[in-house]
Amino acid sequence: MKRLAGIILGVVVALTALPTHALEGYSSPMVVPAAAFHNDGEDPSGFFFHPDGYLEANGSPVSMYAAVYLPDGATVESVTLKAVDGSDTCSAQASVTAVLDRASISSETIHQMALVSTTGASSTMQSPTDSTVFYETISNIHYRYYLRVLLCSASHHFYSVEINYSE
Amino acid sequence: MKHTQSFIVILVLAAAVPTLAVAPDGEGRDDDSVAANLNGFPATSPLVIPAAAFATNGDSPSSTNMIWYEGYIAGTALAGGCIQAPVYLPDNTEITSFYISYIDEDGGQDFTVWLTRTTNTSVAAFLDLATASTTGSSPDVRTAWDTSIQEPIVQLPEYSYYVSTCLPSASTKLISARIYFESNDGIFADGFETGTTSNWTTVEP
Repeated sequence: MKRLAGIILGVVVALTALPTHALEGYSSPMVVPAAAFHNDGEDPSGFFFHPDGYLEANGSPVSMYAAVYLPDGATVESVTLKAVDGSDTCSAQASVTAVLDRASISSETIHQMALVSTTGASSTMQSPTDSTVFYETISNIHYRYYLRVLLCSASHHFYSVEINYSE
Repeated sequence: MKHTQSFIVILVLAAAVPTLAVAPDGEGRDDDSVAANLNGFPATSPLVIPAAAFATNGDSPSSTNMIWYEGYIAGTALAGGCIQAPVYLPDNTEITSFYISYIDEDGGQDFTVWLTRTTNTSVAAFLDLATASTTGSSPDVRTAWDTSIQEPIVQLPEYSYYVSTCLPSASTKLISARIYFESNDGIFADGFETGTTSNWTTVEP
């Protein structure tokens, strides 16, 4: 029995010596980069993912979409857009806009949770935030979540959307 | 040894085997586990980005083709072939290595896959953290990697992370990208990522 105890003790010591500390895991904020967005198919050449890491349009309004994954039961606190809105001649979509939507998994019902848009014309990064979030509690059983970004011009540079949430 | 004793030893060893498992890529493996899989992403290193995660950059949408029945994305006869995929990693983890699996049967052209971060606070300040390039020509699935990671600490929301490449022909095929990462918690998790005391205000001898 002593021999058995020795073997077990040896294995336990070996396991204890391994690096087993846990990572912190995913946490707020959720950053959805431009690289996550794809076209709705209406105008598959109406955008360009620049090697510098942003999306731009080509002069006509274009819609881009990305899935959003958040923990069930979390509360969305705010949505922040990171984009440059330079001078352009687009009238139909004069700003860069991001919308957080939820859609029911059992019907065609869509709820708009938050909307943010750039303002004016500037070559610097804008970070508009919407802290008035509707339907803010995440329910992955009943809804699916996604971001919609609207662009128009080559001077519209969309970088990312930051979703802050609490658990 | 009695059967009962043997059974106990087998149980203990069975419990140990998952912990001792070795990552297939060898270098850059880690034994850490992520405490929670809150966003539905893989809970442990590596983060595997399949070919299906990549999308066209819009410049020439027909210049790549997802071969769903074989699980890779290939270039086409059209010029371009540039694609990208998002990279979702836990904040403050450390990227240790970057791998790709690919088929490159094009004797005249190779391709490179980049792991890049771009800043969310200023304009067009991007940095390639790692690169993996194909070589030669072979019908086999091969692996390329980079273990020299620039700015390896994941910093959110300051930066966005993504993988991109351009597939120059129908004979160039990307199967997946894999990012190995490990915990950066502890005393070097607050801006002292160099692992030295050079950034400390005071240092006792």
